Amino acid sequence: MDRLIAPFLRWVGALGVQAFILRDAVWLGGWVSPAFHLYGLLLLPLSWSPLALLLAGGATGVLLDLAAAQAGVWTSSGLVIGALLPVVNRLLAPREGYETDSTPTWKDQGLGWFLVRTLLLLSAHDLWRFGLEAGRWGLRWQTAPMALTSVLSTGLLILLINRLLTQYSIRR
Amino acid sequence: MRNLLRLLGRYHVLLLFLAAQGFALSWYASGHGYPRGRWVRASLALTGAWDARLAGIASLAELTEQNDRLLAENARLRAHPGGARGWQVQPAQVIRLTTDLSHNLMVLEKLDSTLRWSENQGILADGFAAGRILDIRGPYAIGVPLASSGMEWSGRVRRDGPVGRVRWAAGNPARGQMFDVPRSTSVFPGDTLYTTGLQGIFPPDVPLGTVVDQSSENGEEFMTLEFNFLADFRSIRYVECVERPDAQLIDSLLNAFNAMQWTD
Repeated sequence: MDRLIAPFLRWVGALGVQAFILRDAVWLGGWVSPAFHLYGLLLLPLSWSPLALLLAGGATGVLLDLAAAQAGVWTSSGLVIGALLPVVNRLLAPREGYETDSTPTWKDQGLGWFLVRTLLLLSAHDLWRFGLEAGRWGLRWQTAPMALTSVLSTGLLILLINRLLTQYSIRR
Repeated sequence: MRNLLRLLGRYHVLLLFLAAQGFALSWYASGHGYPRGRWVRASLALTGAWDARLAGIASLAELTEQNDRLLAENARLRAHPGGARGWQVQPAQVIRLTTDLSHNLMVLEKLDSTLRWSENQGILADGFAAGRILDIRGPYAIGVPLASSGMEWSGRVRRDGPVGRVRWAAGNPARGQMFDVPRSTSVFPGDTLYTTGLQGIFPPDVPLGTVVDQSSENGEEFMTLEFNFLADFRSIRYVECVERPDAQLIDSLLNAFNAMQWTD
């Protein structure tokens, strides 16, 4: 039961932070625009089916679009990360496969795996999102550097929060 | 059907992703000014191109009908009072035509029932001399084109040149011959031949043909001109029938002349 509730609570919490606190967070002239709600998606169980992950990504995007009045930008990029999650999980899987009760965390999979997976998925998400927000094809690649700096900022934020929560749970 | 279901089952995640992405992008396009403008412009361009293509096809289909209406309208306009040097003109449609016989004919039908037919009216096609009416039955008339054997017409070399006899060069519906042209006449290929008006069939100076060649026997006083008719007998569809307004008066004068008793 805890295996289902904990990811759900993380997903709701991250979505709430993004929707209510970081909704309009665009700093340094657009070079930093964190997407913290992806933290909840990245920590969804490895055992979930591709369909469940796609639906989770789409639902995250729809809810965020409704909250931030972004009209489809978050939904579209949420679907992209939802579709890519199982692909990346399969690509980074150990030869013998994931253990049944393992979670996609720094603690269970190691820092390297966690960093590579997070940066890959965040890059795909933000490149798609910034490209859409640019609005036209010619500007798509001009926004790529801004997307990558936002990936770094979101990645740092996720690492920090993940570290804090892990230490908190160890202390308990 | 089973294979289709199996295929859908195999790629259901991809299909769902594409469908949901389509929904998201249409939501995005409807909610943002620039993509919405692009979408509307692209849509208008697409539908505009399609409508233009459909209109082009429809106009092609109507082209024959439009052409027919235009020809009839042209014939009516040419028949406007005063349109042929004060001669009465009435439009008619060609409903029968032969061009490959030795004695060719054309059957005409009146376009304006209030106008009067009469024998010996001249027939013009697109403003060029084309033939004459021989007989009349109600709204129909039978005519003989210039390109017909056994008929002789009078023509003039240019507007100011000598008069000659015009006949059809049998076998070629486009070619005529003008005989009895004085050899001293200066004439070149491309010169226009006109009607004389002396037969009372055509008004004077109606274009008849263009000179192609000339020939003469050694020692002869006259030469023969080969020319192309300006009226295209193979494509005639509407004609104008012309007549002098005082033709009956002139006819009665001629009849009186013919009835005279001569003492010699």
